[in-house]
Amino acid sequence: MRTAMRILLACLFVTVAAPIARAEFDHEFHLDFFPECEACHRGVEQAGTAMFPSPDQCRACHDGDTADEIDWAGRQPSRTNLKFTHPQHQEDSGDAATCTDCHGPVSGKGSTNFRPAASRCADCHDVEEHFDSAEADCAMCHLPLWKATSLTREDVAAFDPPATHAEDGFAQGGHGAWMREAAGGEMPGAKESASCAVCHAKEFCSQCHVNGPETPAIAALGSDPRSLVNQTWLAVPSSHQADRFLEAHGHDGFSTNQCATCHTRESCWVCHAATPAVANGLFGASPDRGVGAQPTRHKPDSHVPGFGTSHGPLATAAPQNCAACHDRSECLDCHRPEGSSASPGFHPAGFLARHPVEAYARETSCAECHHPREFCASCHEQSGLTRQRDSLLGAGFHDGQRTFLFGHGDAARRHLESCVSCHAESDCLTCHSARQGRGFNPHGPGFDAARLAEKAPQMCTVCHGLAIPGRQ
Amino acid sequence: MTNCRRGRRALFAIVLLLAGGSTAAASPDWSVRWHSAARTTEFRGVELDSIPVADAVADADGRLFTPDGYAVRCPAGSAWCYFYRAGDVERSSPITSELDVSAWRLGVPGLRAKVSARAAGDPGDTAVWPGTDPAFRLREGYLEWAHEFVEIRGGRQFDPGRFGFIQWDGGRLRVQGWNGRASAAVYGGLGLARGTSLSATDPALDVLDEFRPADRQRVLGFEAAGVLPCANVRAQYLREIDPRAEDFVTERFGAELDTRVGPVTVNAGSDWDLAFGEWGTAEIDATWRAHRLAAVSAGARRYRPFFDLWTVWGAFSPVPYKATHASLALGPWRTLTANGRFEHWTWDDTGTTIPLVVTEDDGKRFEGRLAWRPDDRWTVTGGLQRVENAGASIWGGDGSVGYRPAETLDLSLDFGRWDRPIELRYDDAELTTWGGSVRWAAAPAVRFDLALRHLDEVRDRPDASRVDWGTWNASLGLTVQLDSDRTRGVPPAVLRIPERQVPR
Repeated sequence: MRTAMRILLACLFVTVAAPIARAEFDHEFHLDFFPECEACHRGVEQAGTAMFPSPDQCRACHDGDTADEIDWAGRQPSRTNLKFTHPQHQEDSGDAATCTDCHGPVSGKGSTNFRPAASRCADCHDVEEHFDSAEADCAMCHLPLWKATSLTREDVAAFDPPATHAEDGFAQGGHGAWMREAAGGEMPGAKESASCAVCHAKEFCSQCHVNGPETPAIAALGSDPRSLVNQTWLAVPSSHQADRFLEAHGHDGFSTNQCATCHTRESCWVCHAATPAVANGLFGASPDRGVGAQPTRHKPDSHVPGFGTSHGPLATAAPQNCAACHDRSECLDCHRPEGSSASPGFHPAGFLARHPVEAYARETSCAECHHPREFCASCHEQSGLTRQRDSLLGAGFHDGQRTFLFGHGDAARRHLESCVSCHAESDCLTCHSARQGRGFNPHGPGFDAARLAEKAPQMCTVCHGLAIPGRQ
Repeated sequence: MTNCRRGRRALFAIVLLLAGGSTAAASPDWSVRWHSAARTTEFRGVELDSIPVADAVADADGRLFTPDGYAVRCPAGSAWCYFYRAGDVERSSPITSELDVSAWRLGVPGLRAKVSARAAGDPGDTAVWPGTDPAFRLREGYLEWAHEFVEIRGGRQFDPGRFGFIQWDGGRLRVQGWNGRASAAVYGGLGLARGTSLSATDPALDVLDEFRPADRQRVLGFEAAGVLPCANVRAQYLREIDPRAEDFVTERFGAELDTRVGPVTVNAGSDWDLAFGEWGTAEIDATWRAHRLAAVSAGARRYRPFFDLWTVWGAFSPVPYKATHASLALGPWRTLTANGRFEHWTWDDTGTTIPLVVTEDDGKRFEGRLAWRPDDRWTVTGGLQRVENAGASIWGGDGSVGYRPAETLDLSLDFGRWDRPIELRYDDAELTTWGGSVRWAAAPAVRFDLALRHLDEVRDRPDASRVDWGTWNASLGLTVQLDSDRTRGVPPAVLRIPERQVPR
């Protein structure tokens, strides 16, 4: 029986106590006992003190005798980023403002009914539309993120992005343009980034802006890892998609300031390995900045198949372009003025056995890497291919043409470099000399004897002696 | 003083300077690349022989042969008939060792020293590999001081460019401005011969006992380059003077241009032989690339042989050929690429009037190749080649299979077969090769290269000179790259680049 009575009393207590819950608090009823708001909301008068009454304050009446006991544990501090204080507003209004000006008349139940809407703030602060206005000065009412310490990561993640952030190009260049416009065309600074700071901190901006420490608007922000709950990514700018961007980015109107937004020196060094100084205009990766956008190294458009044997004109016209990615030692792997290494190099495997066609066609000049005498003639001599001194008429090496000796002029003028890989000058001067031999004229169409006599008369004397035609 | 001795003295002086600089500087940086290789290769030439006219025998058509079947040529009035028989197999086994040393941070900001030297020898039993006498050669040995706007270099040096390698012992001054968009250089000194590190006076270049200059030529060159908004341009002038006669050895001017016309890259260049008053070699190429899908290139070029005025060859009026070419590369597939190239050229009129020897007036070249890379480890390639040219032709194909089991190891097998007739000699040769190679980066600073290849050659002739022979060629190379600190001053991003992680 006694147990049943206890249960009944307990149920009765719960039933009585339940209406005293926070949502059911009856402001209108309490107004009769406390006509001044400050009686309970003492923090209104003194910044930094609790805005809501403590449970002990309530228990002064709700002690179970005077009034029903309550189980309210007190109001937790609000998780807010508002930088509003009642005393400051009171002072700003010249003590003219009353509570009901913002909170409205006290009526009904509940403790949250009286929180003014943001539009109420906007009414007085000349803000046409809270939140969605591009000109909104968020910092007027809101703390920067790194000062809004009561907010959790989830609170920050739940921030709704303003409509401006959904505009095309906002994430890329739009936000910068907006800030520059706000700064009157000058470099944006702390003033312009103050609104951004409500939701963002340095960490957020550094996801793209590796020059954050040097950008006043970003440097003005505080540090707060919670800002990374809003992930962003950097889309490749349209300029980078342009044809020939790879070759042109060094000198087609791009400034290092632009590049430094997304790139660090490490970005450049992915390709510019041979010329690291080219990255001097950018900042190096460091703990206070991100590593930046990392390009992928790939061949420029000019490196089409066969480029290995046809790159000469391009390489000599613009060696600085090659030097962007290639070290000189790479060139020297093939281009050495001594093409007789024991290790295979420029030529494909087995080239020695099939070099005649390349030598005759002269797609590239053999003499640039091989001295015709030291390299070609010495080997041809050992192979028995050079002219045998006592058998010029009878050797018959060119037996593919029976009358080669008497009609070789055509072949000789086309393949003179091949001829001299076996023949000495004296072979030809046996017949082609004005001073000795048979006096056959070796000079072909367009031969400028006067120019040659002026430039190198000594050479003329080899055949003509001192009697150079046309010379006094 | 021989060239070899001069080279040693220059090397010694630079080593002393390096040592001095190293002492003066707190911590000099240096880089050494040493590459040594040994090779053994066989080749087989021809050997002139003769028999008395009386010993020659005639076949049914009246053609003369030796009794053992070699076709002979018996000059009128001569008591002897001549013929070529296949020469002995000659084996050459060269060993070359190349050393490149660079040093910087020598106590003076911007000061750098470079030495590049080569030693070579051939202990082979019969043939001598070219470029082994003299055994030691100094390719480069200079000190360089570089500032943002000025670069001064003194010593033995070379510059590859439009005229090939310009090599000289002397100085070079280069200035640049406008953020590197304009530069000019002047250089001069005593020149070296083309294509070798020896001077033109060196007896090693006098293989055929010809005229040999008594003194080295004086070199003077200018170069100017600019990076314009629309193009890169470069112009070069070079003159070499024989100091004894004050005659020109060479005088050349060259210019090059690289620009963009819409989506097409165009590069062009030309040089002029001012000493001969002749237009030299020239080319123009246009390339259009559709991202990774395809690349089309077309162009024209003119090739004219160049001879210096120390020889009489230029006075024999060599003629140029003019060529047009086009190439296409396709890569729309992720693992397969294909490319082909075609070129046709025509020789200028030679002005000769004796039509006793008929040679081809033009030539053409076709090359096509497929490469299949199913993954990062396997590479399979195959190609066809056909070149029809005056003098020599070739047609055939080759293929290879490459396998990379690890980042440090590359294995490759290859094969090829070609017919290579020679126009001016009765010789239709067939060549078949097969072999393999291994490239192994044993350590970050050490790399080995090994290649082994078999060649079968058939020189098809209707007489006893027909040769059918085969041989093995092998080569072994060792490359060591050492640096004072492989990572000091090198950006981490550079070190992460895969091809930087093994010595080249």
